[in-house]
Amino acid sequence: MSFDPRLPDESVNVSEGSVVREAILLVVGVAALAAGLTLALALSIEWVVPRIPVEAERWVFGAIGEHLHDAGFDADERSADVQEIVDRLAVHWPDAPYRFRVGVLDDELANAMALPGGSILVTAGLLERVANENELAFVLGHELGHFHGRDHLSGIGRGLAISLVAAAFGLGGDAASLVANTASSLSNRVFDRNQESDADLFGMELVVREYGHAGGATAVFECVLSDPSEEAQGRIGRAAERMGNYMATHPLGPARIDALRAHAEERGWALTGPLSGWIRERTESDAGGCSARQ
Amino acid sequence: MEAYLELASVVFGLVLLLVAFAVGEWIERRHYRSIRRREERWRKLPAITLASLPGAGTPVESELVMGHVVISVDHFKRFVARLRQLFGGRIRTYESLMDRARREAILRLKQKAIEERFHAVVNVRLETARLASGRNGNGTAGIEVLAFGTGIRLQRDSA
Repeated sequence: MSFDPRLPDESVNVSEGSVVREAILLVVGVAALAAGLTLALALSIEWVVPRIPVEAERWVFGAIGEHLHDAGFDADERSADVQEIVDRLAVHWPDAPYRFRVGVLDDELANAMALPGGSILVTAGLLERVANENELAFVLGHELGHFHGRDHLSGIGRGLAISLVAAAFGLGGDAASLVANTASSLSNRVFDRNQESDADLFGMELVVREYGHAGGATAVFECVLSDPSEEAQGRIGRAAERMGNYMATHPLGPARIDALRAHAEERGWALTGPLSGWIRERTESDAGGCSARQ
Repeated sequence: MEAYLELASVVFGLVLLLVAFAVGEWIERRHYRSIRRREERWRKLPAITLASLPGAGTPVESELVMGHVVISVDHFKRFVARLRQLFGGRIRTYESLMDRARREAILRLKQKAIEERFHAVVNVRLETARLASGRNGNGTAGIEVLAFGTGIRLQRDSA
């Protein structure tokens, strides 16, 4: 035997083919799987939620209202005024299974949220920025719409579904978990958006029945909720996490205004009409934001 | 709103992956060019797994020779490998990494042997070690491949 030096054989040890293609296939595969799982879970939640008795919901989440009361959320002097508007709107939803309680959250960002058990939180920022009662009433009607659709429950359920899917894929490493989490929460947005539009229409109907017209409804989107900075978004997102509650956020968009206009036209509702004043000591002239532009 | 933040983080993640891929690919190609050049240059030096060089007679001198290399995994390779863990199958992104490391280790072993004026390296073995990173030791910071063998010097007339 003699020594015959050769170069290493390059044909066997490294597989042929593009790794980029492999990466794309894997990402698309994981994302599709996660989105499919989330949609399946979300659909089953949509099926289950209407079948959960309201008594059960009150039993589980009733403590939230008590906690809010203890924490002084309804101590703000304005919360009684807001409560009164909610009560008047709720008259037009006679078979509402909830006793609605309002609290004011000390946050500059204009927002409102529906919490399980019948509590509604509005931010001080929202109360600062609404120009009249009608605008506020539409926001409150929108939140009542979330209760009507029991969106707060499906929201919790879908939040759990996302965590579940992400955790399941997390077993395959954090890269898979990241891809799965993104796909899962993106696919969830379809449901979020549907809920928001349904709540919009429900809120508008309550407002029309109470005031005879839908004035102020579109102004809410045009002026009141129109410039949330990303920083503020992050802040309220973290606040909601701290509270451990589902927060019904309100994505903006001309599409929602258009949908409201179309719906009002279809039902023959006026989009303008006499607006009721709001907030006792404040006059039209020193109210900032929306009214300044009207 | 939150969707924008999420979108931003997805875009950022993608950009990071692309950059990692581009840089990693560039480094890998450069490394392979260097590997092939040196393999060609030193191909005449035997580095074999047998205990002796066939037909070479008894060596007059022998000594331990080692060559080792530590190579890091790039973000892209790791990302694809992690996704692979879900479905199984070949982790191709690591195959080229391991291939480079093994060949580089042998090349360094040969380089050392040449510097020491050995005529051949016999009994060559390879060892692989994973360098762990992260709190729980789960992550892979990189790999080490060690090539070692016995460098031998032969008598003039038999070489």
